[in-house]
Amino acid sequence: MLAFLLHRILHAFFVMLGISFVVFILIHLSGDPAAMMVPEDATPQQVQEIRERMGFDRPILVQYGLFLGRALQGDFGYSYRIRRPALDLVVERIPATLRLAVTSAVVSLGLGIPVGILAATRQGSFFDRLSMMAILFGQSMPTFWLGIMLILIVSVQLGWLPTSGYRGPEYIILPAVTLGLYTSAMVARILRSSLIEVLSHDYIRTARSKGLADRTILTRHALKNAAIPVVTVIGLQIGYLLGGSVVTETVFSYPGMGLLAIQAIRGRDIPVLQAFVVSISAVIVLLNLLVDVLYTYLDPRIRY
Amino acid sequence: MADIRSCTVETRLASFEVRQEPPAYRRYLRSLRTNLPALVGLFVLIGIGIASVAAPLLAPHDPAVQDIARRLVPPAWSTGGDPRYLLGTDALGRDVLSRIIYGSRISLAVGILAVTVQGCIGVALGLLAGYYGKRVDSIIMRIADLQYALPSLILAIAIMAVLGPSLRNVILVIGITGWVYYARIVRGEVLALREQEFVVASRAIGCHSLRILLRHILPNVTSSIVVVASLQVARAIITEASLSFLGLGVPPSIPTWGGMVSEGRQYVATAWWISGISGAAIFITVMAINLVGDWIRDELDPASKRARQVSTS
Repeated sequence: MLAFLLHRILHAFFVMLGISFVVFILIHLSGDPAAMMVPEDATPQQVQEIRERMGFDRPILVQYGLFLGRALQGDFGYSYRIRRPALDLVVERIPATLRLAVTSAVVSLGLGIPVGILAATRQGSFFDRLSMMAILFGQSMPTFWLGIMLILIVSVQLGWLPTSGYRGPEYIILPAVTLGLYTSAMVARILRSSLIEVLSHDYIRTARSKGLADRTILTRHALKNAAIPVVTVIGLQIGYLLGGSVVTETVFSYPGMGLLAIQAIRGRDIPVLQAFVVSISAVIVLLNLLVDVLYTYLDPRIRY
Repeated sequence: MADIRSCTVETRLASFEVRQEPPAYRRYLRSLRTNLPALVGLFVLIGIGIASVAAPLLAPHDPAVQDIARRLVPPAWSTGGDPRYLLGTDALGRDVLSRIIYGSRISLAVGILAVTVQGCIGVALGLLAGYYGKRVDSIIMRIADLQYALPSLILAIAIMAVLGPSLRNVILVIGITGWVYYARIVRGEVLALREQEFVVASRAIGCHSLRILLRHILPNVTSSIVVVASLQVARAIITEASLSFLGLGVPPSIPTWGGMVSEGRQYVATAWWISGISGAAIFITVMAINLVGDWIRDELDPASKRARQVSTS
């Protein structure tokens, strides 16, 4: 277990190193990074001054070394719009985005697991057909459109929930549903098919023939095995939930990292954008590490 | 086959079996006839295809012409609607229906071209990783790991923010960020295929590696590629719409569905149709693709079909 953990941590380290390189390349994609960092009405002297101060006139590998050295100390430079360190601005938004991601995950599991179980145990029934249709709908719906329609119906017409911002727990419901619906469709579909598969195994028939109640068979024998593909999907969806938060936070003006990133892009605030990409990847890498550990608990056959 | 009696037993049996197997396209047509959802999806897609090709003929108005006097006209069926503007007008008085028709061009272009770019990159890297193994494999797969830690939407947003909005950039960005799915599947299949007799045999008679990859291995992985591509078309269309919604996609002067949802957003309380209808266009298109995609998966991947048959029994 320790060797496995060390291996995963080392792997995570290399992934982060790669991401830092991608982020570094990003500013050089535009051609002249110095020109991007100055206001549009800057004089050539000002551009040259920035170029020298930021080291953009040095060889590219030297620049990467400098960038990495600073990034390791948490220094992504100062935000251009607000005179504060870029990383601080991003880090103080992490709890809000995590809160949204976790609530969405709760929504998607709370919706996806019961639907998946009911559909699998009542295969071919009306409910099964209905849920298959709902899954198709959930997977075809663009997040931002769903969010706007929820605002229109739930907030504007019914007046049940606030439209945007964050001033209390009720503000998170609509964004979480918006973000979680796609994943819940995914969870329901995967759980349904994996449960159908598991329920056809011999040991389930044995359990049934010795007179166990359906509920016991389901909770004690079937669900834990059917959960493995679901955990895989959740692991892959972590990236989706955090990445999708950019769109959802924009729709609901929810003050998380995603909204900050979009504001940074509009204000051409490259240090904040860089800090955002690195931070969000770090969060994803960490969460995936947790999923890997959860795996070994669920399936003792998995040994690394 | 001049005279059946002159054939050996073997060839007679062989020709008998050949006659039993109908041509592939006929088999697909037959299974499509019995699959109503896929058929509906296919017709919707054909309709959207026609709309995008014949947009100048079908659109009742110029999608760019503004008319402030006729701004925010509701759809024709609601009170205050104008039959000349079937789906109403937007905040600048532009005809929503015409913009939806023109917007289909961007969605389809991105859906087709971006997926082609993804496919070319992903398949090439997957073939190389699977066939050569060792160092080539581990380098390509480590890059794939990176892509998993960096969600494709985030990467696309970051690259678009730096490159600036244009249709070419959108296609390239979605193409670059989506290759992993192909590479993983193709690599896995190539790993199994490269040990098979026909590959070993062609290597033994001196075939060039490139020839083995393209003539012997690639044809055997095409059905997996088609299955992945059918999923990726829907994803690419949603990603383009999301980028345009965030103002990071195609320049706002070109009508796109995602851009229209974004434009209509601030009027949603009073003029729901701008965001509502353009988002519905995305929703319907993606659903049609998913329905056709499910059918393609059933046809090309026997395991998926079996899972389905279990489910409907």
